[in-house]
Amino acid sequence: METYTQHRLEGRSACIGVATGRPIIIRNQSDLDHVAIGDILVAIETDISYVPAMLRAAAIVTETGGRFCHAAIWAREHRKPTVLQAANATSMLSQVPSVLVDANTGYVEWDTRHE
Amino acid sequence: MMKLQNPTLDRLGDFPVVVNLALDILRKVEDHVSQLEAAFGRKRLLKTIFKVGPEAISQHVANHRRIIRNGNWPNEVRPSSFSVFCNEYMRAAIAYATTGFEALDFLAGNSNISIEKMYFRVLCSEALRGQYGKRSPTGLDQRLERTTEDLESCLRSTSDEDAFTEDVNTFCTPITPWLSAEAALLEDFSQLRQHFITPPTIDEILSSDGIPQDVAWNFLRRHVKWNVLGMSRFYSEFSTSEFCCSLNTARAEREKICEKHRQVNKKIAEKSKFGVESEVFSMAREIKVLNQLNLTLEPYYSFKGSPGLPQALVMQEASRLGVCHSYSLDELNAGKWALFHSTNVKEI
Repeated sequence: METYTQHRLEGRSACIGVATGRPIIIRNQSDLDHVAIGDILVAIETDISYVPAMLRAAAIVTETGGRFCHAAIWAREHRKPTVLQAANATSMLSQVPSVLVDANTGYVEWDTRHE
Repeated sequence: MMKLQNPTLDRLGDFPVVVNLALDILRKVEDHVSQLEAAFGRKRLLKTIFKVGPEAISQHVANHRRIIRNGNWPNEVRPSSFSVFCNEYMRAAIAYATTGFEALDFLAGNSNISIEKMYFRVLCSEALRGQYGKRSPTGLDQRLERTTEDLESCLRSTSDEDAFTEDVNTFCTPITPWLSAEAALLEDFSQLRQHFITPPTIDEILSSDGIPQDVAWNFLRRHVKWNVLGMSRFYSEFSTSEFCCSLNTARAEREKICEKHRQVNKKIAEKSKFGVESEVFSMAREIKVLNQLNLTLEPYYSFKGSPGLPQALVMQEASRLGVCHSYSLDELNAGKWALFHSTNVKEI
């Protein structure tokens, strides 16, 4: 019998909206090439070299950053659901096939399946 | 050198919060970088960076960040007035850019100093930059946060917390013509592609003149650390329809944010009538200027930007040769202030 466990990360919303997609963890520049249209970009923080990947992403999740950070400014200009300060997002989401980013509430949610 | 236009005050609403100071500082630093480029030789600069290679360029920010985070840096607590801070910040940024070009000369084999001395200079340059940066108790980031909290205390109402939070967020979002580095990247690329429909080669850039040359160098300097291959990458990364759609979305949103800014500025003006006029105005101005510097000068010309690349390469080379001497905080502090005082800059 299959069971599911729900998981949730809490962060701070920088721009409201909801998106579901495959999380792509960015640890170095080469990871940016793996972000396809509709994916969720997950990083410790963003910088200007992330811009092409941020254009393709459906939502952005970072572990750091406040209202002045680049990700927050980007989010508001491009209306991308963005959650900041989601502690340990890059490690917790690394094997997850799909996540829901609910930037209305600041939560990132996913299920894991057990057999 | 591209000339930035000063924004007209009529776009700012009833309570003008002038941020020309941020543009003036950015322009001074960029003028200085442009002069350093000319002195180094623009052809030589592009070819030197081309030889560095895309892998080293793509890894330098992560490597540099590791060095910064693992290092012990002499950050002093230096409370100062806003105008003193801005002038010192600008001086530190210019010193950082100058050291970047010294590092480039060194890497190009055109310098007589030893790797040990160059390594110490780069450390002092990083220490000076850090004095006014994120790690410092009286650096730009801490100053911005503190001033925003003070402004919030003045403006906070007892009801409608969500609206208040949104007001502060709106206030912190730059509006045209003051763009964040990411917004400027899209606008600058749009201009670049108007003049160079396909990725320009080094020879094409060097043989251009007037506006196309200014546009190309603006892009090289701000966004890709003089890396022509990096510039080419954006041509393939930004496919036409997706890019145009995003550019138009961002422009439309900035117009809406501009209107929201007017409303927030009016609220600030209302509050400032109740006896705190100069204080609220000063705080609002400081936030706008520091925020703008944080979103532009920092990504363009700090360790993540063009002058940071050669300095990171010097640190790597020193590590490869095993000459990373461990300096005391006093030694770094002395070197940092010597660099600061030897940098001549006309104050704003």
